Amino acid sequence: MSAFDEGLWQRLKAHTIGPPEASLTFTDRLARENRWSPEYAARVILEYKRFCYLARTAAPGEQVTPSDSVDQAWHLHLTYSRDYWEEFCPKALDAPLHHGPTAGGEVERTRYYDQYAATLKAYEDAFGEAPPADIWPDAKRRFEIDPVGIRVNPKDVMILSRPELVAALLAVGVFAGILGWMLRGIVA
Amino acid sequence: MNLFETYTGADFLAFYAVMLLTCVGLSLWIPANLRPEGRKGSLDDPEELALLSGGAQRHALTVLADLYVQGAIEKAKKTRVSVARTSIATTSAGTAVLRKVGDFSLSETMRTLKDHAQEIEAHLIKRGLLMQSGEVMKLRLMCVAPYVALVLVGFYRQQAGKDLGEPTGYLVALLIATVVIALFRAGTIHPRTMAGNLVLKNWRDRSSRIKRAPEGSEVPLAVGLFGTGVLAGTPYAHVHAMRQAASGGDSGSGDSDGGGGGCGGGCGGCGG
Repeated sequence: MSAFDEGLWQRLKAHTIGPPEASLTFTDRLARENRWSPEYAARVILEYKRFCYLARTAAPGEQVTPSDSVDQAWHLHLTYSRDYWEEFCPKALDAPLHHGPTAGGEVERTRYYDQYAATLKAYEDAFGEAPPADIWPDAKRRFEIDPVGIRVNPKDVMILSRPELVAALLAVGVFAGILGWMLRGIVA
Repeated sequence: MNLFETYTGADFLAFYAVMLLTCVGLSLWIPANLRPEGRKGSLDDPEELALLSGGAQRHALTVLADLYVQGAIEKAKKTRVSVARTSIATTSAGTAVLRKVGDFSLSETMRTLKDHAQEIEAHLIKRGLLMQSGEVMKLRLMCVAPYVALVLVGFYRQQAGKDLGEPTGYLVALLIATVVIALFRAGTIHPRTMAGNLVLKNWRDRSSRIKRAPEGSEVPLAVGLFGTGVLAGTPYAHVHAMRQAASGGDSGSGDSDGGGGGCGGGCGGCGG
């Protein structure tokens, strides 16, 4: 385990992504696009910076793999291309950091799982604590559930979480039962 | 004289339900507080931790997981494995599994490892981390005793009601439920001492990361501490499918199409 690079971490931590005076900041946009609270989005950005630290301090040739939440922050940051390539990478990170999506298949799946596990281990070694579970989830969530996420527009579809659906079905059932009981009384 | 002659049927059912809840509470409180203290100690061996955590089945799964990660065994059928290579460093239990011929299931592995598991169990009893069989039986009886008392009271009232021509169907249903709950509780009491519980708690408290995504070398420890659920979504999910098949469950989605997500990045080679 190499020594903690405090200078690198301070530069990453101090970097603000995108213009801070924008009415829709990077944090706000990240929160909006992922249906997160601004507080959670801010935490994800901090974890993204920690991920970047791990990528920068990894041994030559080694790659790191983010959680899905951190990956969303990374994707969005890449779209702020001027900030990413002209400010963040050369000045804060002091190196280019390229994003490489999976090519699919069992071998790639194993490779990315191994990288994810190694990234979590490196995180614990570097920062002295386990990564937060709500941002760095378990393997099942990371590799089986999160990847099936799709982009939808709430103007086109109705978004209902599973607990909300169960509650709605229960409410309809209770309402139908009461209605049936009342109608039976009227018919009788 | 009927001891509950002032109780109507509905009154007694309500009384019985409250007493049944009390019994459930007692049967949870007793094993949590009245276990033998044992002797404080520490463990580092994944196989010992597995047996302490989940008995002989967990021990066998830990051995299988270790061999699977090392490529010494491989998937043979949906819920079976076979030996792929034997030239690896492993424990005496692992060596015993690698002597097997053809494909085999979890239950067959458990039979192969029965002596190893018993040896570890005896060692843990000696160290005061597991209870002796007499102590386990005593704890089970203490947990079941409140249910037995309740069933006797209920049965007495049921017979009295029957003699008076009262309907007793609901009470009989509650009596059956009581027996089922009592048997379930007696069967699910783990034989750890307080010291054994503490050893496990300490390990689990500091193993949050390996519970989520263990590296290959950490897989035996992760399985030993938390079970094969930690392997879901990993390249070693087949061992989890074997466990689910052994308990009669669905083998789940352990074997996906491999098209799942993942991405990475690094600075190495790019000036980093």
